[in-house]
Amino acid sequence: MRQNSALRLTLWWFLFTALCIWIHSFISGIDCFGPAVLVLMHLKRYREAIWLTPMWILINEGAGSLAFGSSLLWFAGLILLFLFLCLFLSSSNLLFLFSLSLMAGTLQTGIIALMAALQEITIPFERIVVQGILTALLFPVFWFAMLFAFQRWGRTRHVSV
Amino acid sequence: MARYTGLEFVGTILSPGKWIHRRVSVWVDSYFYLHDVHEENRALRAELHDLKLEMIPLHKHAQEAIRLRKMMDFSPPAQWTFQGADIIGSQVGPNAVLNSLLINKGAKDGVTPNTPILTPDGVVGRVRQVSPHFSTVLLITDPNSSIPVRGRHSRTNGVLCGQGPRTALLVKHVPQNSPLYESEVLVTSGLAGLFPEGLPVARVDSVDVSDLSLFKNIKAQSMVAIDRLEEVLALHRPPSEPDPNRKISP
Repeated sequence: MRQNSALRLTLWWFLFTALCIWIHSFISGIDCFGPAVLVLMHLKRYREAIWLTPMWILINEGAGSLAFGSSLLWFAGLILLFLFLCLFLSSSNLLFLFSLSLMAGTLQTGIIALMAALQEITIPFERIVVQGILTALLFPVFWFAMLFAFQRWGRTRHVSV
Repeated sequence: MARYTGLEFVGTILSPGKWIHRRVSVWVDSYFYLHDVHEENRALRAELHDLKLEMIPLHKHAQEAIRLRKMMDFSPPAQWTFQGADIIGSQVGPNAVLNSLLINKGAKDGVTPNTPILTPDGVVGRVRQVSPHFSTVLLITDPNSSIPVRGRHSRTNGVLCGQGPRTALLVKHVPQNSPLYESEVLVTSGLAGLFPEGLPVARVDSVDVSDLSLFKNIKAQSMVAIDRLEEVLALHRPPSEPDPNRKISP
């Protein structure tokens, strides 16, 4: 029973990851994995967040064109922002979500600009800003979609909680 | 490690979708359009494709023959080999900030960083990162791409730089008094050792003389419609030629 649940949960996360990669290939520059980690933290499913985050970091780093470290900074920054905002607001508060989206967009822009400068890569500034804006705008959409999906399908008590 | 796991995983996930998309497209095309005309078109297109491929070295040889007839020490060009590759994606994920493509050929197929990528129409870019079965290609339109080129007729050298997608390419370092004409085709000069000499890259769009610079202000358009690409060719260096990526021991 427990083994079946683990298998089902693994399959669910594999399908979710595959879907995210397809979304990444359609919307250039967007990241679905970042919001997913925060939704898992919001749902207090820390165990899944811990084993999925390194996998998603590897995927983003492998598919990216920046040197290793950008995704590490991105995920670490998101988690820190989440914990920081939790000091003032409840994570189910709408103001929390919109603040987080805005900060995530700014963080995305900052990390890419920093890494590009460190690696002496030329990236048009408008391109980085547009990516940050897109991240901020789509963050709440991904948040609600994942919240719904994780509560409805990606849930197996024996393993996840 | 990320290249060998992350890029490999992304390529593996994207490949079946592309394969299904192609299969469905072929099926729909075959059954719902005029079958015979379509088949004939396909054969003609394949023939045109082959002829264009044959023309690339012929063009180069013809130009070379005129110039080198008077020279005693003529050396034949090296024999590079082609390999077809499918495009399975472009920029995937938040870190894919360079204008790039993802192709289904990797280290196991002999692809290495800096392998030239082209179509029968011209150069597309060069390989940037490699995993066992997939590679990312830096496009010539990316601002980080610089290719040494020369005019096919004028033989004027310059460096072709990308300015971003859907933006004209820039030909830098062409002195004011050097001839380079509008509509002239720019070919690789082979000076950096990454690309073989004579591959078409771009066509000169405009040539402006600036009072403030020692160089001409030249804009060019890529020979390849990069947005509509589905397949590309990877160009493999002949074993006899030195690899520019090799490490030289002191």
